[in-house]
Amino acid sequence: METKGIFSSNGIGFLFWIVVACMAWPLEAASAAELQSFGFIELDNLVNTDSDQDFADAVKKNEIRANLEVKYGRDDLHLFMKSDFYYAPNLCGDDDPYDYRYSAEAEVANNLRISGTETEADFNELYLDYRFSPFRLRLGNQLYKWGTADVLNPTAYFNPYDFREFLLRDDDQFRQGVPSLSAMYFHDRFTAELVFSFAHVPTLFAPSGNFWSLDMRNALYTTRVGSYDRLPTEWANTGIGGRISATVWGTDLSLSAYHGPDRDPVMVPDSVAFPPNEPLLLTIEPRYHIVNMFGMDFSKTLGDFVFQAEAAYSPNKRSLVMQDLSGLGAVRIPFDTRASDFISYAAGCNYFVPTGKIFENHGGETVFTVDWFQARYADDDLYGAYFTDLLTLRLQDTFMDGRLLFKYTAMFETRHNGSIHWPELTVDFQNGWTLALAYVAIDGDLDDEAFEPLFYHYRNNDFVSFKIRYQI
Amino acid sequence: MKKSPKASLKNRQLPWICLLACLSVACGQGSDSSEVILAGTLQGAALAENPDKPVLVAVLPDDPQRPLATPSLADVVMMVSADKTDYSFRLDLTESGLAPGQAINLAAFVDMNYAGGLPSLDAGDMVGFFIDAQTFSAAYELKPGLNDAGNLPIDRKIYDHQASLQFRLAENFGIVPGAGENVLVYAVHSQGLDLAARTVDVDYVVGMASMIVGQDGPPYPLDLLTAIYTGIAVSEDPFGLSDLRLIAILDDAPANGRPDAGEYLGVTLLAFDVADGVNVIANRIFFPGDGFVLPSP
Repeated sequence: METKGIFSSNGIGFLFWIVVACMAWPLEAASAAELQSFGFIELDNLVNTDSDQDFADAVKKNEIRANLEVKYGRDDLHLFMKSDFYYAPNLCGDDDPYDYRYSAEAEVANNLRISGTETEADFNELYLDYRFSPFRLRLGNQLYKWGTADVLNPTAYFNPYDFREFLLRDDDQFRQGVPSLSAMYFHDRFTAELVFSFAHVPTLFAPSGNFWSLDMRNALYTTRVGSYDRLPTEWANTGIGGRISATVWGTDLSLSAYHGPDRDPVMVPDSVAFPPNEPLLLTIEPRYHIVNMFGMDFSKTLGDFVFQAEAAYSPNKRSLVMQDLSGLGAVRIPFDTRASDFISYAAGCNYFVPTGKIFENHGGETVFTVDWFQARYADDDLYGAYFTDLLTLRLQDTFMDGRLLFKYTAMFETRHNGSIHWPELTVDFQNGWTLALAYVAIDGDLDDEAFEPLFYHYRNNDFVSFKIRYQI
Repeated sequence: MKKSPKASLKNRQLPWICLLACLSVACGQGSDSSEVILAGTLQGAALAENPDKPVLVAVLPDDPQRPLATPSLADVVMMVSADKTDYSFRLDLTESGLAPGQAINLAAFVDMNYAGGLPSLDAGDMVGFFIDAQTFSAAYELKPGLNDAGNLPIDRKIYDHQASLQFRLAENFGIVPGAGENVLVYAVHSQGLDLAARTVDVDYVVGMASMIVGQDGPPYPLDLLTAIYTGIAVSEDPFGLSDLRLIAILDDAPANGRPDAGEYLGVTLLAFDVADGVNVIANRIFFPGDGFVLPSP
């Protein structure tokens, strides 16, 4: 079994983590150092509701998650870690033991994510924090939550997504931390942040054969997503970006810029294989290119409404060059890619519904969220973005003094009538235990697209999930 | 983050009960589904002579009107690569939407001009079909479980041409089919025709048509196949075939779209040549009658 990552010959990422460990060492002796730790244990079960399968096969995931959040040190110098440990055994012993796998093979990523088929350890936030007024320095795995949108953030350049459960991972699992050095400068009138990310972390896709995999099968061929190899750790592939934020006339404004590996890969049909007694195998390789991005975001509160928008422009973002796919023999593999002007934006608002004024004993908060996301290449000869034209509506209501949380998320992909309906009810027993029951229905049309639209691809992945969590 | 107060025993039990209920329901036993497997072997010189070329086996919906027609990949229900170690193939049709009792067509081809990327089926490629040598039917009826497709010869080469025939039936002597009767017509290379035994070797069939007298003509059209047996001499540039005859079967005993023993046999008395484009055949198809019928197999 091949092991990738910090133990490979390209071990700069490994050296980075040694440096972080060495810098953390003095904390041991630091006076007034204290240890704070929190966490939870969660069992997450997912049952596919597609009726065209044996019942035992419907159980797609039984996952145990142990979350640990640790802060060690003083406020001005501390080590912070927010980590998750996952274990997804095949409890039901169905025909396919690989309904849910974290990776196809054992691997260690540049951000210290350690994955096997049934286990994984993530350290999406693991950094040293050092503050000396008016600066703050952080070194290690970090999440840069740039942007104001609620679902997809065009200006969150650094942190690649984890698409191993499509768009349905919890918010705290949807983005991956990147090993980086960040410096923040606090001024009375603005805040500036500079980020240097020196080891590439690729977007995650579910491995082949997984319930959430992107394997597509038609009469002539199947597709598989190839290995999501990261870019080599070298100067040309480092990411550098900055953001300056200020509040002007009651509006939070930010400007940002970035140069480095594109967060989103170009999914390139790369090669064809002919496995015996199997359909043709078309391998789709996620490829990363260096891009320049410029963005802005704002947020403005008006009464019970919070309006927000963000946009990013790139002069050189790549995509696949279109081909005539009517005759298979004329299709060139691999597909060419080409850079183009590109813009993506998200706009929406949160409405804090004054439910308390209507129901005096409501005992909670009601928020209605609208978010619209769109991405476009200027070059009409390129295939469009994978995620675009997404309208998200969400109603979130906490009541009975926080004991019950009801959330209904509806996402519409307007190009192919794609939709996700996601009601979720969480019961907080306020003794450490919480239960969450959710149902997700996915639908979409195939239309005449050359590549299967993702909402259509996952149309049979409707599921019921049941989570039980104990907060430590 | 606020640390939660200690849970009482009663409150601790409830989630575990829910959890166990969930797991016990979710882990039920499933039932086996019936498989439909189609397996066989391929043969033909093109296989061994072109070991680096893709060899593919395709299942198509049954089209009784166009047996031996070069398939369009757009119509394929399922296609797999053959196992080149022994040129066998095995298609699992269980989840293809095809069910036992349904008829399918089966074709295999070697993509001779493959140069990387996705394969195609076009001029220069070698192709073979499942076809019943007696009934000239390409229909294969699926059964539950394993279906043996036998040996599939890949022995036809695809040519790029639009050659077709226009022919007439003799109206003044022998058996004269009446208006509305169905006639099956085959363009056959003379090498595959044994008039004494009244048999046709399906390999040498280069065209076929099913026509209704008085409705589809005269003259009646017949498109030549683009896939032609390698045992037939073909002029490639320009396309041409020589020494062909037309054989007709009066499909009336019973009228089922297939040749049956006892049905009257007709033939053009003289051989003819064809070129690309429309070829008007001067010789009319003549049904001698008097026992000139298809023999029992």
